[in-house]
Amino acid sequence: MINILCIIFFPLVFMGLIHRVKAIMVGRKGKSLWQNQRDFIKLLQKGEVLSVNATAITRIAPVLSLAATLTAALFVPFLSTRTLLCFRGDFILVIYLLTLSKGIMALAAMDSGSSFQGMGTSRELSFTAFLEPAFFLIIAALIISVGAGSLSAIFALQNLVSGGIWNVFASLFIAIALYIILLVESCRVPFDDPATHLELTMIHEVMVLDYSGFSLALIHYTGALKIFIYASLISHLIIPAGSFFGWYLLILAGVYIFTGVLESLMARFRMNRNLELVLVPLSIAMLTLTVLLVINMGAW
Amino acid sequence: MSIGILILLIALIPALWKRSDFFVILWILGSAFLAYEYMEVLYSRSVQDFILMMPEPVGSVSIALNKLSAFFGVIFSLGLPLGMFYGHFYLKEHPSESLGSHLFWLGVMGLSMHCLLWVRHSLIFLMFWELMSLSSFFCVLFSKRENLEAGLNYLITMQLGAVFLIAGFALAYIQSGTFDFSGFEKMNSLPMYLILIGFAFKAGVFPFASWLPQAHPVAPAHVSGIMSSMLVKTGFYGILLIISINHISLLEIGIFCLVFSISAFWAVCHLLNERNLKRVLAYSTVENVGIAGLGVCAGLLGLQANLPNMAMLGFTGAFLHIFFHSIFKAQLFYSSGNILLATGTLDIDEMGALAKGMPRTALMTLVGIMAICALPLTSGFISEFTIFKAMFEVPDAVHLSQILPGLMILGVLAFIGALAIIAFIRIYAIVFLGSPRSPAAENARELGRGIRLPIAVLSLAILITGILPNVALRFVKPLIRWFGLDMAYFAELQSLMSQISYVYLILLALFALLYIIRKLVVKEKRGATWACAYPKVRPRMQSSSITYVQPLAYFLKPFMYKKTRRLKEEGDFTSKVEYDEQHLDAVWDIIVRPLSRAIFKFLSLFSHIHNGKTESYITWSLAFLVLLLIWVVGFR
Repeated sequence: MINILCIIFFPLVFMGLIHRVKAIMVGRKGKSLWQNQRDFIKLLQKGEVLSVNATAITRIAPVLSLAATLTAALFVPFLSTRTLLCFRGDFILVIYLLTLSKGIMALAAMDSGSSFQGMGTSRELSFTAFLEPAFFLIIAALIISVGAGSLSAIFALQNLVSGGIWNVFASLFIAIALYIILLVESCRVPFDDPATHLELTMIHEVMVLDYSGFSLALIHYTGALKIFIYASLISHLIIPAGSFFGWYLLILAGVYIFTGVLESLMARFRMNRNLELVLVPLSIAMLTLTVLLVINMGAW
Repeated sequence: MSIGILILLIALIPALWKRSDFFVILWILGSAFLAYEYMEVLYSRSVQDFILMMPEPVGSVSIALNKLSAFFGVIFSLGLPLGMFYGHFYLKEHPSESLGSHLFWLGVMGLSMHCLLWVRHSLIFLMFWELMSLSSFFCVLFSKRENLEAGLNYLITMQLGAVFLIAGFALAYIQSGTFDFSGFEKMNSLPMYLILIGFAFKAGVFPFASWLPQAHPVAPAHVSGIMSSMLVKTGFYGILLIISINHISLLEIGIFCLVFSISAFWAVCHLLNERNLKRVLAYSTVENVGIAGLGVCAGLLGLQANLPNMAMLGFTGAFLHIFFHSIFKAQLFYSSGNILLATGTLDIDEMGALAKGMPRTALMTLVGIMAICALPLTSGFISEFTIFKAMFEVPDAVHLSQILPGLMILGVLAFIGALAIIAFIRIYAIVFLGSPRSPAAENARELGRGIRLPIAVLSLAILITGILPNVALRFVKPLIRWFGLDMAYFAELQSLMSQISYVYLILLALFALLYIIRKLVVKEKRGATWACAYPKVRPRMQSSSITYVQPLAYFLKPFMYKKTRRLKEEGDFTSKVEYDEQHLDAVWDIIVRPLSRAIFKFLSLFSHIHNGKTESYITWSLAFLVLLLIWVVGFR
């Protein structure tokens, strides 16, 4: 139950944290942490302007996208590692639910017949194509090292502290890989700039160019929830199971603050080099698997 | 058996009189009988046997079904009449004078597909195999001259495959001394490889698959639907037949993994670039056969490494994928037929906004597209879930080295899945969404109710098997038991699937709740699409089929072959520059074409032998006789 409260309240607050950090980094005071919630509620009350080309897909997509992400979030451990839903192999369903949410948004982006949106869609989908195998291989590595079957159990059992020195490295590397996946999936700075104002350089933002009001609110919330899911997985990867929930919140906040700092300090990468960088999680996953293999074949 | 087959034989008579309605009714009737028979074999009786005595050298022909052929039989007996039903309406909208012969060959094709499953005798099997190839060749040739080249290419490829098959069967006969399929057990590696290659031609596995994208686009929609969703499966049936009764070593499993991975990857790279709707679907058949093959590999790997869960999941996933693919691929081919009839083109760059003129087809195609992308709520997800799950059944890291190919399968499958999603979202978005790119697309209207009915039935099947996967699992269950796989874990899989159904329930409930709220709260207005305040927006400014894959093509360049030509007007001030870009099929255009051209060139060196002069013929015979004399007598 506490997880459901997390799902409802935390994503937008933590998004506010990124904005706050960015503002402080450039010497401004920044908006309140609750501002995103207020914007969300304000957008919900507004009417919508749909494109003349729009079909039913435009109406359905944000709703289905949010529904799929919410369902996926029910499997993910947040404050408590006892999730509402969990069964052996649920991570496959989670990954595909997130894909469903992305896929239906990609369709909706092409619905308005805009020249920019098609471009954004093709970029976003291409960059994330390499993440799916990476995520699967990461999970495979984790399953082999902890021997659990469901997403919450895997991330609860694996941690930085217990186990040998290799386990520490494996956890750290996988955390880095997951962090890169987070940056790409949620379109943060080195890959995409959510604050850009030029349509030609946008990736994710251009996909939702023609959305307004209620749907836009849902889209913002879905995006925030997605980051929250990945950030939460990362912090569960680092802390041991059953440890004080303050640690969890601390690392969670750390991930968001780091994202904000990164966003202020780094420029984004060249668009066509992005694909080379999203291969990093894949290589890390393979590396971890190789290490596991080598250790267990007794070569060490 | 006899009643069903007899009715199907009788169905050939109205076909000759061009009465497609009677033809379809008889097919539905006959298939119902056959389906009953197959179901009975699948669920209760183990084998139903009778032996036909034929004169030597054929000998006794055993006509029997096992669970494997009954499984494919059920797929055929459900899918074929639906295809014929669709064909009835398709042919009505797309008339031709050669209707009688077309229907006749369609009937022969369906019959030979059924008969293949019954015979357990390699000579008779080959006979039906050839009959199937030949009749499907005539079905592809449907009253259009331009079909001839693609059709002939198909026929020649099939004959090439048959050569391998004949050689393999002959070697197996020499080894075992019997034509019966029991002689295939524990055979030597050479005949096994030959037979597998022969079946791979039909199944559409990588180096032998280039007939699919050539034959499918020119065939009428019902024929390509039947071929892609069922005829190709006969090849897969053959492969499974051989694999199930032979020992496969770890090295061979590795080779299978590699071949199926390359097959799926090759296909997905090509379908990303393809503009012709039906060619896209044809490549995707190759991809899906690859995925099912990878499932089989996972199963074999599980048997090899003594991991019963993995073996069970791998085979179950493969069977489910074969079954589901025959549903959603048929659905998509029939939908593409409707699109062709409505717009008169298969080039996706000429389409756009068809969802406005054809909302029902758009909705049904969305279901098919979601299934082929393996997105949740559809059947495609269930089979891929099972195959993925197989790869995660590693008890501990000690087994890791044994199932290393399994991890390769995992990575490849996930990557292929992601690429397929991109490819099919592109297809759907360009065909159905946006604004129309041509007047034909703008004026496209929904076709009649009859032609939509088979598609609706198949869409429903996709959703039912997708949301309630246990329905499909029950269908696969006897087959899994027959393979001697772990049934205890199968029950666990069933409970897993019902949990997935509950998750879907939550998903759908959330969706409905949010959607109702949206409906109540939101006031909608219509406005122009945002175009950076540019006033003259035209449909051509939308993403085209090529620009859409551009960011990905940058990365997958080594796997995508294209020929670009730049046509430029002469002179200092060029007003018009045209680019012509053509995507090549890596096997067909780069290996097969040049090879056949080289063979042709080499053989034409000898063409002047045939010059029509009697004296030169006498000289050649004399020279031949002298050579023969030297060979016989020898140099002493």
